[in-house]
Amino acid sequence: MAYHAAALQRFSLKIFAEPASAGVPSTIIPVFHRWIQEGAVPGLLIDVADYTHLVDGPSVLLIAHEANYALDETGGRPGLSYTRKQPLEGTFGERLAVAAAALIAAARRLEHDTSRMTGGGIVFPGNEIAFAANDRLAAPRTADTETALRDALVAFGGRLFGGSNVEVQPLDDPARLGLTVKTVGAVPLATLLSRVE
Amino acid sequence: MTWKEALADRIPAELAAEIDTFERQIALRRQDKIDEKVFAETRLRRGVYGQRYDNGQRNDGTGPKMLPYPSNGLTKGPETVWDAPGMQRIKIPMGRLTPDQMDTLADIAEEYSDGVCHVTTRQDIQLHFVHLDDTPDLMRRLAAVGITTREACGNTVRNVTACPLAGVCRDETFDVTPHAEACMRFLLGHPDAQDFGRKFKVAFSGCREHACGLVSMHDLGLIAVTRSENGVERHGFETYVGGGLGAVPHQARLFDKFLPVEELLPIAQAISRVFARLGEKRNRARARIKFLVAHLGLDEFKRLVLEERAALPDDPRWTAHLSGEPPEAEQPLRPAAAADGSGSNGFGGWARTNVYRQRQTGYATVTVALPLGDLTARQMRRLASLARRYVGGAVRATVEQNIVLRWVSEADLPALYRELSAVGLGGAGAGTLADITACPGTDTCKLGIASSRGLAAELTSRLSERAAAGAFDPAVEGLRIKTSGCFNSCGQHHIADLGFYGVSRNIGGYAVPHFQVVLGGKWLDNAGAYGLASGAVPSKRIPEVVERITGRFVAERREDESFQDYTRRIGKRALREMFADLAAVPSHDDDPSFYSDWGDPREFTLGDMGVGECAGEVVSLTEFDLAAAEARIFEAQSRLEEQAVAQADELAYGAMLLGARGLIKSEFIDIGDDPDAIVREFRTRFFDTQVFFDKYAGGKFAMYLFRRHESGPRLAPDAVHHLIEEAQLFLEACHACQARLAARPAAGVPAAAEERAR
Repeated sequence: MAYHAAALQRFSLKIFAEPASAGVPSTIIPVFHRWIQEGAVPGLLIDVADYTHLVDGPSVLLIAHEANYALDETGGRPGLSYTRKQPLEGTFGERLAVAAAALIAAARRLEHDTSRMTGGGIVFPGNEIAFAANDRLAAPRTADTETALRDALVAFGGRLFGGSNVEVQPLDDPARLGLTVKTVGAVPLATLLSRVE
Repeated sequence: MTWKEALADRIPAELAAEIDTFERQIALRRQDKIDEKVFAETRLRRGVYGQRYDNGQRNDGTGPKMLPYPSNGLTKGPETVWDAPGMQRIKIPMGRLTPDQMDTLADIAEEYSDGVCHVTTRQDIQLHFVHLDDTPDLMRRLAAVGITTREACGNTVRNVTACPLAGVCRDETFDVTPHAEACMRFLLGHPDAQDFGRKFKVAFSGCREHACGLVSMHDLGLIAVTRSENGVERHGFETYVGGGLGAVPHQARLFDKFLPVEELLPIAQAISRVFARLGEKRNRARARIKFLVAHLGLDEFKRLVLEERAALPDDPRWTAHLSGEPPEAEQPLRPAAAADGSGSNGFGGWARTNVYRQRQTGYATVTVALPLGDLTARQMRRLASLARRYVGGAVRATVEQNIVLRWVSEADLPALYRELSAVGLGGAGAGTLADITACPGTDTCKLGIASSRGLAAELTSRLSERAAAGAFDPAVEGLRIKTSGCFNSCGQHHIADLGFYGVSRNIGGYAVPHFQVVLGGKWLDNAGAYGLASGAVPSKRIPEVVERITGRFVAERREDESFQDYTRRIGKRALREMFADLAAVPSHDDDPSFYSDWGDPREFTLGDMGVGECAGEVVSLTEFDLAAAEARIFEAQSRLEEQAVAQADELAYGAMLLGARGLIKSEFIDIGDDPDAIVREFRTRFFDTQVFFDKYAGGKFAMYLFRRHESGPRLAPDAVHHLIEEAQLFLEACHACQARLAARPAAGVPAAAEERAR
């Protein structure tokens, strides 16, 4: 099996939250239900799945046809993830940008919708996004895949963070290939969104 | 590269062919060339289930809303939208898992599902929110590690279950694992187990006294027993039939006090044949074998089974597992050694509830308690890694929705506990009041009325701290709570000490989620007694019910009185009065929280319920063969396009044989696969009698089959092209004939013994 960029349609992006701001995951359940009512984020929104009894994985999921949004606790680091399920058009870089735009828009909305909660809302510093290939056929965990994805994510990071101080590091996940894209200092979500839309 | 290509040399040929066929059936359904009802049963038999909201509608809390899937009207079953996510049930016989299988389950959960694996009350694994189009590759990846989803659902023999302690239990009569394994292999895909009106569940237990296999609630339940004959100890099974939960629970009835092990498979086959022949097919509410046993009476049922057994031709598979080399038994990975008594914080409490000393000195079985039966893909992978390091492949899922690691050296227990805790799997309280079983309920099930998982999560969060601290009174610590989303008892509420199943009540014009309280069921003694419904209480007050009943039991029990004896002694009226005040529901204005369910802020509604698929679609064997024939013609066309002429010829011919066989099965179920026999029987039964004849074309289409059968393969592309067209016409005639037959008044299918005598 070899890396096949054109076939890599299943992947996830996760934007990390300020740990102290994450609060109690179950408070997000009604927020996601409201998103379905209002069509607040892109996609055909179907249902909310409650996994708040679990650790090290999705905690509250907003299931959509095209992708799942999740309040995610993987690795003990809270954040919002966007896991693509249906194929997108365009190059891999273009697909990444579409997914990132959906994720960042959802993160902005989540910041807004939780801001009046007791104890304050979720805050996303906007300086780090993790990518994980979610297709072991199109993106096997090999050095070649990592090199190719690193190149793609360096370019993506440059676009996302305005080309400065971008660092791409492998994720500590033996099961699938993942990389984080970081920059120094917080970046407003609105700025990030404007760069990928 | 596709998964099919990548795994070609790792999937057994038979499984690969089955999955290819299923993939072709998906393609044909996409083209509307398979009826949606037939396709639904086809996918159900491969464990591909529907899920809540797959009719394209959901109440979002403000009212029913359409879910505009891009399916363009395409369905995967009656009122089941193609693109709606569904559930994949994965059969894990006896719950036995290897670390490699666990890794694969984790991978497919991440790639095709929502990243969570769910252990069921039948030792299966389920994945939710799976797209139908992904299922063939998902199945291939499972097949590459020795797992099939075949007959995970539908009107089939479901996952064969067995006590998770089999082979290491201190009290068992003998290890039932090899017998359960042989039974599973024998019945999987067996022709005599394909024409049931409903599902058929089999369980094995190593002893009578413990819960183990829950034999009494099974269609066929087997308890290991021995008998001494001429000074020689023989192994056999105390055999039960006709048990089942569901809306009307039945205790299984004793069929045989001692069924010798060599008679296990032939009797299972004979029971299958009687069930297929005489079981109800039209009214699925009365189609389980329990109704047949009740209708015939046990004696008559047994007589028919034994008659059937006597007429069965010998099959070497019946005893293959009993002769030759015994199957490779689990071997401990690490040397036996006693624990030194030390451990990190929490170790003592965990060891008290989650560690079972095996009969093999120095070894223990560890229960990994899974909240609601769930674990994330990462946890599954890490558990696989721990299993590799501590116990090799000795892992089993349990009917209490947990996972056990067997053959843990006792000296390793503290280290294992530390490592389990580090990945969030070190929870204490296995087998206690806090270890709650729940079916999927309204989270994902189309039949769910109330949120069984939401209730179970709430109770778990309230009780688990006490479980970890060992703070339960000993009288209640080992009681079981089980919750179901509706009366169908997938959460096994009937056999719980405290069972709850979802119902709805109308209060002031609003639907209010309630749970019916079921008390006094018996988990022990292989599901020894069923509890009785004692009144409905609003969902939000069930935690108070649990507190009150357990508190009263502790305060009022007589010395050593069991919970079942207590509930029987004080009586149903007193039990109902015990929580009568909790049945009251405040008005919507006073407390709207009562009008939504646990874990779901939407106002409660029954509007999201759909038609369940638990029962499967009742599709005849004729329809199955006709559907398979369609797939084969499709494949023949593809092969011809690829210039694979000989293969195309063989496929077209095979399609005609399948069509003919399907019709024959409506009269003669044992027809088999021999082409000569199929053509001979078809000629006798359908051609000579003119039953197959078209009003205008007469027997012309049958001649297509006869000609190909007699003249052998065609080699020229044009001739094969012609043959494919003939096969298509022959199949159309089969469909027309089947429709005419279906319109005729029902005639009894002859019994096997009569058939063989013809």
